[in-house]
Amino acid sequence: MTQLVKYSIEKYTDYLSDESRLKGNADSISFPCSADEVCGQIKELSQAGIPVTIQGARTGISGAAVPVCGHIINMSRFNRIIGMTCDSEGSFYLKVEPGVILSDLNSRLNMRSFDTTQWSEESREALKKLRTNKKRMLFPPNPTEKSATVGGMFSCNSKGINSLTYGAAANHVHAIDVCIPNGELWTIERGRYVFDDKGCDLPNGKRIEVCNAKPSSVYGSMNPHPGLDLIDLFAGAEGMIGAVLSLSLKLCPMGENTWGIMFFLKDWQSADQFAASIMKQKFTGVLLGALEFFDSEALRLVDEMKRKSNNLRSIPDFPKETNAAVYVELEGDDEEAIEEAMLSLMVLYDISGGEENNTWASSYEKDLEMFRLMRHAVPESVNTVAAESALNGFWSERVSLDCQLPVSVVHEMLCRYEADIEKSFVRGMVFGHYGDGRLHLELLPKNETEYSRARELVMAWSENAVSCGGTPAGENGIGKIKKYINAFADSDSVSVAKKVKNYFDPQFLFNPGNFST
Amino acid sequence: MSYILVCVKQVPDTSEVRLDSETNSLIRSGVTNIVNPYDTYALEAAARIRDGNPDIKIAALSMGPAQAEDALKNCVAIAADSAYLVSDPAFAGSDTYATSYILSCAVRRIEKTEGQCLAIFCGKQAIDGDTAQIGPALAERLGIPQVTSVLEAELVDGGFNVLQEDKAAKRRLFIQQKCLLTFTKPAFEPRQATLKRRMAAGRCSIEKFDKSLLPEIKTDRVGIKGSPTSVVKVFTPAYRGKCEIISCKPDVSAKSLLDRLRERSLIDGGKNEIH
Repeated sequence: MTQLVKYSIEKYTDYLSDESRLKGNADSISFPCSADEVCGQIKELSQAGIPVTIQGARTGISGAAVPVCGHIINMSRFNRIIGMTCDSEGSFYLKVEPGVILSDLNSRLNMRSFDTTQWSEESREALKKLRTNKKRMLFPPNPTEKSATVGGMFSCNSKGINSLTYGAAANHVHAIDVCIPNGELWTIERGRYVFDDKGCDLPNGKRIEVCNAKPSSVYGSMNPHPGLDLIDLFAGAEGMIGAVLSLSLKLCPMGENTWGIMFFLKDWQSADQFAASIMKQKFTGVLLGALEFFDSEALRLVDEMKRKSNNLRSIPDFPKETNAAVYVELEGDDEEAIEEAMLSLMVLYDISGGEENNTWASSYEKDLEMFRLMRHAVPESVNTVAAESALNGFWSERVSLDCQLPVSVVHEMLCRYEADIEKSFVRGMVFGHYGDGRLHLELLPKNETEYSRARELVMAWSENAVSCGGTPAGENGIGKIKKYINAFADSDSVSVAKKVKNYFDPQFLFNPGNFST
Repeated sequence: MSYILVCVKQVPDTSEVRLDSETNSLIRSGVTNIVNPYDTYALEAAARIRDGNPDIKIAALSMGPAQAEDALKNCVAIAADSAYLVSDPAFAGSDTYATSYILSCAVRRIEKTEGQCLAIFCGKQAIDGDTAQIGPALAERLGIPQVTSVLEAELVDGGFNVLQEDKAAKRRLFIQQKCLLTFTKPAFEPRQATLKRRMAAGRCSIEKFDKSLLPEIKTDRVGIKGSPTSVVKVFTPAYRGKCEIISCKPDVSAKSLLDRLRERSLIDGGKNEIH
C-alpha cells in the first residue's frame, strides 16, 4: 500500500509561497505526521523521480521553502514533543519533531508542562527532575519570528537577536534523526561524525570524500571544513540533502533576570556611536544578550505599520524628535551587577546625546516580548509594504541583504550603507544585529529603475562584505532569493557545494531551485 | 497635595494560561503575573493629565497578596509617585462586594493623611474576573459620581471632560470632582517606564495596610465569610458554534457572508457594494 497521501495543490495554494512572498509551483502536497510516513513518502517520491520541497511553517524570508515543481512535504503536522532525557552531568535534552512551533516549545518549557501521555518512563522521570531545577531551562535561539518551526530554524540555522550570547540554532541541537533522499534513516549525535581534511564517516558505514579547507564560505555548511560536525552539515542545508525527522535540543540554563532597554536617539549617527561604545564596554557578571540597531527609516516604517496592524498596536508611540534606536538586552543572576551595567549604559547613552526620558526599560517578559516584537516588526512591515504594492499593481519586488560582517567593520559599513541609500533615492533601511556584525538591509524600490539601482547596491555591498572577510548571507538562509551570492563564490566553493549535493541527492530532487541546484 | 488615585489589580497573564487536561484546572506554574491591562489604561490616563499639570501626583492602590507589590512597583516605574498595598489574610477570598468595601476604607485611610484626591481612576474590569463591578461599587460606597468605560479624560476647572465609549456611540461628558472613572482600551498604548524610573521603582517602598491599620473594617464583612457571592462551579463552557460553508461564486459568497454578519450585528452597516 502506498505511504503517500497526496493532496492536489489547488486547495493549498498558500503553500506555494512563504514570507519571502515568492510564488512557486507544485502539483501536490502531503502533511505527514510521523517519521515512518516521511521516510515512506521520500522513498516513493525518489523512486518515481518526483522533485520534493520540504516545508516548515513557511516563515522564512529567503524562499527556501517555496516549491518550484513536484511535491511538497509540509512538516507542520509532524509536531509532537516526544520526550526528555537528563544525562549524568545534569544536562536536559528535549526531543521534538520538526514541526514544533518555537513559541509553543518555549511556553511549554516556561510552564514545564507537556503532554506526556506517550512519553516513556525515562522521559517522565527527566521531567520530574527538570521541575525541581531552579534555573529556567529554555531553547534560547530567538529569531523573533515565534511562529517558526524548530525544524525550519535548524534547516536555515537561524540566529536572531540573542545570538550574541547563544549563537545559532544548531548550537543547541545535540542530535537529529534525518531521512536522506534515498530513504535511509540516519541518527546523528553531535561529536560522533566530524569532518577531517578529506571527508567524513557517515552513519551508514560509508564515507563522504569532500572537504573545503577554508573555514568560511558563502555557502555556509554546504562547504564543510575540517572540524565541522555532520549535524551542522544538515543545519543550513535548507532541506537540500535530507528531511529532519526529530531534533534533540539541549536545554540551556538562562539567567535569572533579563532586562530589555530601548534607547532612542536623535539620528543614526548617534545610535551608531552609542552601539559602538557598548561594544567596547566590559560588563562584569552580566551577559550582553542583544545589541540591535534601528535607523530612522526602520523606525518610520514600524510607526506607519503600527497604525494599521492590530498585532503591532502594543508598541507605544516613539519619543518625539528621535530618529534612531538601539535595543539592548542584559542577562544575569546578580541584580546588582545588572544595575551597575545599566548605569554604565546610561553614561554611554548620555555621551552619545541620549536623553533619559527617551528610554524604555523593563524586565517583565510581556514588555520584553513587545520590545522584540518592535524589532521583528521591521522585516514584517517590509513584507507588508511589498504585499500592499503588489495588491495595488505597483512594483513589489524588494531587495534585501543580511551580511555577516567582522565586528570590527560594522561602523564603517553602516556609514557606507546609509550614505549609499541616501544617494540612491531608493527607500531603504538598515537595522539588526549590530553587536553580532549582522546588519540587515531592506530596499523597497518603486519601479524598475529603482530596482536595478537597488540590485547594484546589494551586489556592491555583498562584494564588500566578502572582501573584508564576511559573507553576504548571514542568517536568513540563501534559498531562492539570494542566489546572486553565486557571483561571490570561488570555483572551489561551487564545486564542493555541488559535490555535497550530488552525494546525498544524485537525482537533484530535494528542494530544487535552491542555491546549489 | 493634588493627586489622582489609580486602583490596580495584579492578574495572571491570561494569554498564557492553559488548562491541565488531567485535572481540568488552570496551570499557573510558569505563568507570569501582569498589571490588569485595563488598569494600565487608567494609569496612562492619569499620567497624561499629569503631563499637562506637573503639580498633580499619582498614587497607585492595590489589594492582594504580598506579591501584588510587584504590580505596584511596575506602576511606580511607569508613572505613579507612590503606592499602597492592602493585604491581609483576613481579606483573602473577598468577592467584589467585600473588596469594594475594603478598598473604600483604604481610600478613606489614604485621604486622612494625604488629603482628598481629585479622582479615582480604575480599569473597566479585570481580565481574570471580568465582573466590571469594583469601580462602580467603590464609587457607590464613597458616595461619589462615576463614569464607566472612559476612553479619554481631560482635567478642567472643577472636574473632568471625558469621552465615554458605548456600544452605539461615543459620548462627551463633564463630571465634577471628586469622581470615579473606569477606563477602557483607548486608541493609544500606555507608555513604557524609562530606565531611570524602572531602576528607582525597584528600590521604592510600598506603604502596606493590613487589618490593624484599617481598624474600621468589620471582619464579618470581608473574606470568604463576608462575601455574599458563592462560586458553585468553575468549568469551560462547551463549544456550541456550528460551521456553515458558503460555497458559491466568490462575489456571491462574500455578499452572503456580509449579509449574515450584518443580520447578527457583528459588523457595522455601511455600503453594500462589493468591489
